[in-house]
Amino acid sequence: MTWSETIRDRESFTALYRTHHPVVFRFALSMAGDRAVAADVTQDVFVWLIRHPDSFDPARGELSSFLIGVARKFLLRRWQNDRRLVPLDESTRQVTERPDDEQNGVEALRAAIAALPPRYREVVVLFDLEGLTYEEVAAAVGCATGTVRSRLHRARQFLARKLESKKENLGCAV
Amino acid sequence: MTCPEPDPMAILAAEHRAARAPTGVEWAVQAEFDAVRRLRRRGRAAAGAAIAAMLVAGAFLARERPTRSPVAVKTVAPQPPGLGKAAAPVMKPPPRKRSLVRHENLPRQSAGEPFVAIPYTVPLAPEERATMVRITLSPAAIAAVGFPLPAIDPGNDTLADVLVGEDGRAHAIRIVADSNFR
Repeated sequence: MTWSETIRDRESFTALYRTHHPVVFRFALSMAGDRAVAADVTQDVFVWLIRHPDSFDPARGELSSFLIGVARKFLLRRWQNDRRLVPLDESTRQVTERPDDEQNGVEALRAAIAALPPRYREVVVLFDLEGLTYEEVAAAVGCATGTVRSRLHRARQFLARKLESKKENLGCAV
Repeated sequence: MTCPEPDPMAILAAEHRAARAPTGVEWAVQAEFDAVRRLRRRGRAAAGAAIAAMLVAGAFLARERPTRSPVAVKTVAPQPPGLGKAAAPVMKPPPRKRSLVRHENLPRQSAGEPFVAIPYTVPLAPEERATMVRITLSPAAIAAVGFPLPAIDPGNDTLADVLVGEDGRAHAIRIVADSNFR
């Protein structure tokens, strides 16, 4: 089935949504830090895809990277409208039972990622959390692979510094 | 001192991958899909109906349009204004009438006379339909298109039949015989 047929057939589109919406939602959640905003952005992305089916060319790349790129633009637009970044909210955190040290380390890392500037945060989210390749991240954020590598390097340096200061406060290596 | 513990990034990644969008999003997206599909179907139906209506209207108009006999047009070379052959006697001007456009049901005093092609206009194509309208022309307007003019009173308007092509442009003219111009 071609892309044109897939996007116009209800069953195929539902299958496509179920396959690709988690990555879009997770990316939006990690970037916005709010489940409601992430749900809105996910819905916006797929509604946009329904209305602009010809915008995606399967020959040019993966659909998931394309959808993340669309989600990124919706998030940027939302931030431009809001003129503020939404910090990670308590409601978005899935608190699980684990030792205090581990809890502290994960929470510190989460807070450090949330504090990253968006262009560094998105590469960390896509590469380290989502597990995409450099090429897929580059396609999603619309830049060269080398740029992704350098942004990731700087982001990790920033995270390391943040976690180091946290570790000193806790007296325990993270 | 180092604490033996799992990688926080791995734990965070596992939590990250467990996140799922609310089911309401899927319903909303499917509703939008159905709405767009309905709109596309309606658009296609409307376009089909419009095309069918245009075809029917075109066929109807083609059947109803009367065929006209070709009008004889005599081509003359343009002459500069004021170089007419003979000077006509000066007559008393009638009351001036402006912008009178009359249609073909007027009496045709000069029906036998040929039309004279207006210089520098594209001639009528053989299959092109033309409409004849009767208008009041001032001698200045006739002179402006390069017709030979007798020396007459410039205020003396005359009646003329004009052939108007499908493009709305005048192609040929003939002066009505019993008008004051002759």
